[in-house]
Amino acid sequence: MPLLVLTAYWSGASWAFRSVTWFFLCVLVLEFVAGKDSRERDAAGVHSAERYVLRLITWIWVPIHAALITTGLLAVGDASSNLPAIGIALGTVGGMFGIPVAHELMHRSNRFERALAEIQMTMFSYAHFCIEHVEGHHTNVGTPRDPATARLGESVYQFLPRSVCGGFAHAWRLESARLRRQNRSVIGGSNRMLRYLLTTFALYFAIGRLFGTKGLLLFAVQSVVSIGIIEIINYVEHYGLTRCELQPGRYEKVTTEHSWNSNHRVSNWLLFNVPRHADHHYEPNRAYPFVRHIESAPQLPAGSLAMYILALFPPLWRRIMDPLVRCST
Amino acid sequence: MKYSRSVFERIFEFASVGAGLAIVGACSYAGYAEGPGFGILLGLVSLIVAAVVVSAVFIVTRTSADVRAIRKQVDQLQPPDADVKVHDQN
Repeated sequence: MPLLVLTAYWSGASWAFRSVTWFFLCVLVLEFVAGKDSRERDAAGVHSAERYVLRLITWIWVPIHAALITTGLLAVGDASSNLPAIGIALGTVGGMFGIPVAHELMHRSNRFERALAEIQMTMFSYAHFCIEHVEGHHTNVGTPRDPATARLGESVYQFLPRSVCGGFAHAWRLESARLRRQNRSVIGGSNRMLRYLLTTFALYFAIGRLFGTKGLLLFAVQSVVSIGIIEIINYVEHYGLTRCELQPGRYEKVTTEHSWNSNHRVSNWLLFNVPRHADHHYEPNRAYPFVRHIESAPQLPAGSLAMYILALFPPLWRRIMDPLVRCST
Repeated sequence: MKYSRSVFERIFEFASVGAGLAIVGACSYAGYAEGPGFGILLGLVSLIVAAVVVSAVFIVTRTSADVRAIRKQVDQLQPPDADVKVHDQN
């Protein structure tokens, strides 16, 4: 998809950015047609060269996405371009492809891959997600402490500000606690949150200098759209699922019961198996090609793309999901 | 107090549907917007497209075999007089 946009734009096609919408509409239809796929890949049965290629796909996405944003910034300088439309297109591509890639990379123990995740998330102005997601969300999922777990009956519009602001505050607390444990100053170069903030400001400054106000606006619009998609994914994946409080402040272990699983073929292809979320929370370090389908986990009734759209309409969402939550708890 | 709360909730419900239509509409608008500016007609078409897409997704999901089976299960779990009790309390 991003390569299609890049090629089309540089060959002078006016539909370059518009094609994103049509692509996702086709994917939505395909999702219902293609059905489910429960097959799993065993890591032991995959040749090391193939495994390397599968990893390489996540690495090369980052420069491709940077090229796509740069193309958008160049395109928006043209007087005949439509800034909101290009911003939405870039944000959608970022949210639907870039987030799953960054998510995959931030779970790796390799420093290089984690740095790629940070670069990718900085392109969405949301780098603190690398701390919050891995160290916060995965520990506290399904508890009131986790801003990224949606409560039963909570609409996506109530969830969004709670998750965005709560996630930032929580990431700051996590980073401060880490530095204090290591007897380091919270205000200094070791603070990843400060580094992320400075890098983001520097990026905005550079874009402002090079591409002017329109460029700045475009970057902000695509960031907002991508952040919205990240949070909608969070909303859908854990809606209404909670862990039992065994003692005050102590919760049962995270199991496959605490995330919604979806086995729909197309969204799993597209989102690097993120919809197989139950196994991801059970075994966060499992690489994306080998994430398993868990039959006993709560199952989403449709593919993830369809559910993300439904989540935007709280009365419809609740009508479908609330009985499923009651049934699974 | 209870009445004003339910009115507020109803307004929020309508506003949330409006916001959903605006978001999906904006995405469909990005699919055919040509040149700068924003045409009212294009905006209206986008809202209609959004409504059609969401209705289709809702209907297909609601009528899927999985959802029907689970709803049947939930109905069986619920005692038959559950609704009556709720009304009695009010």
